[in-house]
Amino acid sequence: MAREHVLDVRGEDCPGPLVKVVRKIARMPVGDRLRVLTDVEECVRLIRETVEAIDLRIDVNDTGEGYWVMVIEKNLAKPRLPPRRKS
Amino acid sequence: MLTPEAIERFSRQLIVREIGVRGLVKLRNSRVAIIGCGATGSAEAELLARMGVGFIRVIDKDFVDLSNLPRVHLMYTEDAEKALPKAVACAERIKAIDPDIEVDPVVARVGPHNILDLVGDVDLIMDGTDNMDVRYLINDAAVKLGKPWIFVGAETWYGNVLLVEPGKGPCLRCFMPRPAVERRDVCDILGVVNTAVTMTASVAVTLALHRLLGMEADHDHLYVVDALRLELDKVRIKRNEGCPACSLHRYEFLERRVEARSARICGTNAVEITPPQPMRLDLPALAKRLDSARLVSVTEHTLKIAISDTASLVLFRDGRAIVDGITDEDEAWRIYEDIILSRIRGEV
Ligand SMILES: [Zn+2]
Repeated sequence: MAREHVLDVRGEDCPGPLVKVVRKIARMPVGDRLRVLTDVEECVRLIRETVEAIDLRIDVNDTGEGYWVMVIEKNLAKPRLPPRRKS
Repeated sequence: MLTPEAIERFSRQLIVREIGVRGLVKLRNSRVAIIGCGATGSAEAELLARMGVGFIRVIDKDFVDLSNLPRVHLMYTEDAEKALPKAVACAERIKAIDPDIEVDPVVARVGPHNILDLVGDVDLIMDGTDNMDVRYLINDAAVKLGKPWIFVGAETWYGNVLLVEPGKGPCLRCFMPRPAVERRDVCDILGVVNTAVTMTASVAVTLALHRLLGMEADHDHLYVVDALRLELDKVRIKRNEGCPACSLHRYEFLERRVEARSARICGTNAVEITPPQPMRLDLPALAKRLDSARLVSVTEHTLKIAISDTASLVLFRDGRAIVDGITDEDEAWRIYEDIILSRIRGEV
């Protein structure tokens, strides 16, 4: 059953949130979705660019209340993000 | 291919608007060859590696010497003790910086016989040599292949950098048309200040970054670093309609022949020996057949033998050798024949 995870990074400046988003995507199972809340426009641009570069779907919605909600779907059977290496 | 580690590692670089994740992907897919891994080449190598370039080939014919350490990057005292080839030392440290980089160390003298192979599969060639003849050879190869290369030179307090974009801008021979071919007896080596090297390498790698990212990269100016007055200048260079390389397509340096020889290395008390033909030596095995009292060190890459209290010989796997402490070319060749050639005859 696909789940939706939430990452609220409001109040944080990039690249911290970007790193959190990428780590989260790498760990969650295929089919799950990640909802990201940010109030920094630069983070929206950066996260969108990065997620698109690894071929995942992203929807961005400006809530009009000073923050954005992004929904990222790990829609690839074989995402280009390999599991985190143990070392 | 982008991993979460890569995104974390390069996160400070990703937030630079002109780079971003697309830039990182470009750098990861980029292939660069660095010819010469001494002071300049190792500074370039470290910057390119930390920046995220995906493939780096480091080519150098020499081994790490104690006297290199004030100027080089990526090399340590232990490397000098083992007479580790500079290319191998640099490659190991690049891997330690970022295991995702593909590194190809090549311990060889660059010549007309191998340069096209060494640079044929890369996107950009970086100059890390201190030898004008090698630079003209790189220029010939790059112009012939239509590949960009970056000329980098540093001496005393000063440095020069030019991105050569064959067909679009000037090449090295456009503005240095008359190579000093017979410079062997005029051997006035100049010292160099390590910050001048690093500043010059930084300018060169910045141009490399522009080029690899697909940004507009300046190929019309010679950059001049002045570490004494602390200035960076640039001088407009024009293409030369009579340039033998990029206008007339005569590649004189590519057509030269490599001969077995011994040659004094500029500014040192050493002679470099080029063997009659390239070899593939098993150095640890060879070491067992040598006078053990003479053996200083042996690894799979180099074999060091003491010749006297003040002279030594370092042999490479490809049969090349550097005889240190002897300045007479014929004497160095006789020593090499005596100690090395006589023992491996008929085996290679
Ligand atoms: Zn030219």
